[in-house]
Amino acid sequence: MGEDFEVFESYQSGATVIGVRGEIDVATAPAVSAIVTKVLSARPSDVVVDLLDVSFIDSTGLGMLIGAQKLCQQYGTSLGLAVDEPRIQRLFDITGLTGLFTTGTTPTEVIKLLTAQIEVPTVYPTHESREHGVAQNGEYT
Amino acid sequence: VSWSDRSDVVELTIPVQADLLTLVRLTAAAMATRSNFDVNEIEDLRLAVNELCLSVAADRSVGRLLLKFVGSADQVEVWCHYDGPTEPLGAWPASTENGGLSARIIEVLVDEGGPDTNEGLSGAWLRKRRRPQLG
Repeated sequence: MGEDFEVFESYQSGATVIGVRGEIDVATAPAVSAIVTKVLSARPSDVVVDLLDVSFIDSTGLGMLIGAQKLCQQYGTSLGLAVDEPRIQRLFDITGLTGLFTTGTTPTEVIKLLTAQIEVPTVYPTHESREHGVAQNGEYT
Repeated sequence: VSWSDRSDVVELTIPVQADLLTLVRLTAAAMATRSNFDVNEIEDLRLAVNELCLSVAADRSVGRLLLKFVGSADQVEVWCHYDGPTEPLGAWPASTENGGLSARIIEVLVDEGGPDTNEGLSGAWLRKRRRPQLG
């Protein structure tokens, strides 16, 4: 494992932030995965993986994040990524993973986005909406 | 001697060991730098060669990877072969969990590549060319 690699957790505005520093590759991804699993065992509502200090991520790292997202979906946890490095953002784009994650350029921004998703009011069907068909996001279908 | 008349050849053999991929990335970056790649092209080659090794190693944890880097004025070619006791999987990119991601990354980041066999060893290769300089 690289000497500059570090993974740690902190708390911000009710969310758990998993910070990663260094390179996420086949050697280091298991350490990130382990802390993600540990964090999720407490069933938090929101988790942000902070990639702002990540200088390199490979397919192993991407696979680890996909696995984390699947685990979050099982646990009812919202997962977001803080990414501001264009090279890493591009990697998500070329592998078609961009839409899989809520992303922002800071953990604070990601937490706001995750919270906003949760606070979208559920639209219960009324007589009129049943006639027209209203999805849970309030849009007519 | 102009660049067109010669090539740099670097050969690297590493045990199939996760933390040694940093050596491969370092070599890729050095070769790309010598071929006057720009910063983004250097990073692209680092990642592509990393994925090449992951594909060839295919989740194995024994054996070794034999790498050959050939750099010239405007391109770098990399070959990677697996030498070890386990049976080659025969597919490229490897049919591992992340193989699809590796394949996509390599496809986008390099100009050419594919499977390769050398002296009975299975592997793969890639070629990345430097973008033409403007002006």
